[in-house]
Formats: sequence, C-alpha cells, structure tokens
Amino acid sequence: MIIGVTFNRINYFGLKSQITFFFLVTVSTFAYSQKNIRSIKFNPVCNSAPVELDKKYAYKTDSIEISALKFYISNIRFYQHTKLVDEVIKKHHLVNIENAQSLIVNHSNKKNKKFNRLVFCIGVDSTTNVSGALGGDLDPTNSMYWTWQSGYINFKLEGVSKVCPSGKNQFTFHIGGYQYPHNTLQQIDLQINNPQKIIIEINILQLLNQLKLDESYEIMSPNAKAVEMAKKIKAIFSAAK
Amino acid sequence: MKISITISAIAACVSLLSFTITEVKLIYPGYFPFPEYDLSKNRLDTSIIALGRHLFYDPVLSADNTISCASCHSPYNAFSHTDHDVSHGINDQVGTRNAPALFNLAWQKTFMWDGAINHLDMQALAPISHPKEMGETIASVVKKLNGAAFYRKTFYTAYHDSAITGEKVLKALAQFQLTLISANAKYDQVRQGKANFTVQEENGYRLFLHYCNACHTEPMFTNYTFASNGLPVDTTLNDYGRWMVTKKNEDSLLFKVPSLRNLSYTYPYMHDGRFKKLQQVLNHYTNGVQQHKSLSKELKKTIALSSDEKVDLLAFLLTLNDPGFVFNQKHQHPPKN
Repeated sequence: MIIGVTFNRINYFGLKSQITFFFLVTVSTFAYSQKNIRSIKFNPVCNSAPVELDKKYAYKTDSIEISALKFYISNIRFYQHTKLVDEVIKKHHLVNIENAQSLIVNHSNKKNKKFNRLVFCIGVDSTTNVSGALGGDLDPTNSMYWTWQSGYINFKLEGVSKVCPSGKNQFTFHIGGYQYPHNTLQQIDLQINNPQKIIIEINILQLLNQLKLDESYEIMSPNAKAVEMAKKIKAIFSAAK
Repeated sequence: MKISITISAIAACVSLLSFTITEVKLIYPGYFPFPEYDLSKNRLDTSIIALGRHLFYDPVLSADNTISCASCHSPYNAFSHTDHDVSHGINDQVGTRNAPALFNLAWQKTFMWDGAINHLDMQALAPISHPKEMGETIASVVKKLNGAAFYRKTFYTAYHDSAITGEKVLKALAQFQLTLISANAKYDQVRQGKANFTVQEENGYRLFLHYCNACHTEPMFTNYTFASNGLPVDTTLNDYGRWMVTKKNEDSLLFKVPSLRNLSYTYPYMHDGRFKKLQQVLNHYTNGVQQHKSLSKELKKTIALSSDEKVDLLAFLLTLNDPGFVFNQKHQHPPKN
C-alpha cells in the first residue's frame, strides 16, 4: 500500500517515480525473504565432534585422519506428512568440508508452509549424469567427475589410518555409479521436529566403524561394493534433535 | 518511461539480431538420421566454435604443454593418427588403443572404443586426464586458460562472460567437433544423383550390402553398437574392450563398430591399429576370424570372397573417402592471432 501511495504522489516526475517504485519493491522483497530464509546445515561429525581435516580421531585399535570429504546433496523437498509442500530450486548442491559455506543450503520459504519431513538424495541422478557438461557445483573442475568412465562421484571420503595396509596407509572411497545394477544414488527421508533449525548430521566414524579398513580401503569405480557402501552412507545421515 | 521502453525494445532487437547472425546449424544430407547430440543444450555459435578450434589445437591442455588434441587427431588423417598404431602422449608414452578418426560425432551415442564415455562434452576429459595422454586435470587447464589474456578475451567473445569454467571449455571443444561433418564422399554424390559409380564400384557396393552393411550400416557406415570381429587378443595389451566397462561376460572382446568413411586416411586399422593396409583388413574377415563366444553372429559363417571380389569391394570402400572434408581449411589449425 505504501508503494502505491508513493507512486501516485510523485507520478508526474516520470522517471523518479519509477526509481522509487523499484527501490521500495527491492527493499520490501529483501526484508520478506530475510525473514523466511530456511537454512539446512550439513554437519559432518565423528561421533559428537565436528569433522576437522587432518585431525586424529580414535578408531578401533588406532586412529584415523580425514583428508577429504565431499558429497552431492540433490533434489531437496519438504513434506507435511505425505504432501509435498516445497522444494529447493537449486537441484544439486556440493558439500565440501574444506568450504564452510558449502555446508549450508539456504532456501527462501516464501509460502511459509509447514513441514515435518525433509526428503533428499545423496548423489547425482542418472538424467544429470548423461546430460553433458554442466556448470556450478556440477562443473567437472570440482574433482567429482570420473574422467575415464563417464559419471559423477556421489560421495568422496579420503583419509589415513595405520590400520590400512595400503601405500601411505591411505583409504580412498569414491562412491558413484548411475546405471543398473550399480546405481549408488540414495534417497533419504528424515523426520524434522524443529523446522526452524534443520541440522543434518553425517557421522563419518559410524561409517568407518562398519568397515574393515585392514581389508577394504579402496573403492573407486561403480561396482557392487560401491552400491553396498552407498547404503551404509545413507544410514549415517540423521536429523539432529 | 516511454523513452526507456523504446531503448530497451531497440536493445532487445539488436541482441536478437546479433544472436541470429552468429547461430550456426549443422548441415547434413537428408538421408542422414537425426543427430543424437542435443543442440538445444549447447547452441552452436560461430565464436564458440572458433574458441573450440583454438582449444583443440592448443597443447595448453596437456600437463607439460606439449600435446594437443590434434597431436593424435590430425585433420589430414580425418582426425586420426596415421602411422601410430596406439596413441602417443606426454613424455613419449604410448597408450593401448588406436586414436579414432573424428567426424559425424553429433550422431554418436557413446565414445571411446569401449563406450566408456556417455556424452561428447565429457569425452575430452578422458585424454586430458589420462597419465599416458595429456596427464593434466581440467581444473588446472581452466587455471592456465584464466591466466592467458588471449583466452580471457576469446572466452568473453564467445560467452559474453569472462569467467572461464570447465563447462565452457568442454562445451566449446564439443562445438568445434560437432562441426566436423563428413558427408561429401563420392558415395554421397552418387546418392544425391551428382555422380555415378563405376561398374567395379557398383559391384563392390552390392558385395558391401551383402557382407558388411549389417554392422557398418549406411549412410553413417556404422550401426553405433559394439561387436567382436574375431580378432585374437594381443597378449601384450590384454584389452577386452567393452567388458572393461560393463564387466559382463557377453561383452568380452567387444569394441565400437567404427565408421568406414574416410578409411584411406585413417590407417592403421582396428582398436589397436594392428593392420596397416585395407587388404589386411579384408583378409582378416575372409581368413582370420577367430571363433569365440561373443563373436558377432554375422561373422560366424565364413565370408568367402574371390580376389576379384576383394578388388571390387575395395573400389567401393574408396568411394567413402571425403577429400573435401579432410582438406577443409575451416577444420585446420586456426590462423595465429
């Protein structure tokens, strides 16, 4: 209403009214969206401690260090019980532990709809995998694309543990694959009790504890082991209470 | 307000006009199928094609700045690598497979001899990253290009944006390669009623349709599938082709069926470049096919060709050469700026 009044009052100045109008619209949209920004925080942890690169965590009889953790989150949707009420416009989001900003997905919830479930995928869907060169988070310069055989890496975890009999005691998990029977895309459905503060915890230690790093410390292609690992990865995502 | 509307209307017209001027369409004969490549996702534009051409010929894509795409895909060999049985990369390293010819790529569904790559845009990543080819990463290529005034300018001209990204590099390379259309061989001229086969070529064509066309299907001269043509495994390379991608037993020793167009320019032949002469290829099909489980069903019965028939078949195959394509200046090294 304020906009209308201002516009009418100085209308005969032509150009000036136009500027005022746009200014007011911009300010009011900004204020509106600020109030309705919904943040989803992805929080990689080792049990209760946040993951820090190259820090030692107790692991079985020894310790582990994590040197890389990157994964795609895609197709984030909000549900109220069984009804889809909203979705994040940006389809694919790359979470990289090295980039603090990437741990947060901001979504402007203009309609201010109520929801109690968050559904999303870990990885990149098959259609996107066959769509040629893409930019932004999907740009192959992000080192999340296999060059020798087409396809995105959905989840990348690298680190060091004396438990690994490999060179430099490294473990390397590049989990991907979009084609049957080695499709590694995982969909997650989480109950959200506090929609004002969505924190998704990813417990890396819980994943590593299930593995036998002394026997299996490398997965770097789409295969049955990658599919098995992708299911284990799904299980370490939870909504913080 | 009226003035600003008029100005923006004029600006819109101008930008639309400049867009229509630079937009390019693929030109190919009516008897070609519809291209596989989705051009709506990467609209052809003269300045992007020109950029892709620069990148194709620039060794900046390799780790030590010595090897370009054209090092193994020379325009004078229909973009294959004459006299090299297998590919040749940085530090004089050699790979395990013959660099294939590049043309009519808009119609190809998968890339590489084993189909490991699912899209033309993504194909360039394989040689760029392979330690025995260019030994580089796309992230490092983008960094090098961002540091070069020439490329900042050329990318700006092409994309109206100075930020060089992996996506733009790959799409520009794809655009140049999409323009490599070979469709003016004598075969095409005959098909368009502009020339006639000789009696020998005509006889060769009949033999071709009977013995070869099932896999090397006209007018593209490939059916874009994978097949085993009965070559014995080279035990120094142990290359099992498509099996290495799918790990399915039935895919053991299957390789991409290559197009037969421009075959005089693309020797040596087969996935490992084992045959230097076309005569050896024909002799393989008549006398050398090894029986194994995944052998193409068309080759299970022996192909019997007399030496006269072989001469006729070769005469027809030579009508698939397209010198206008091979010597097209638009495809060659761009002029120095």
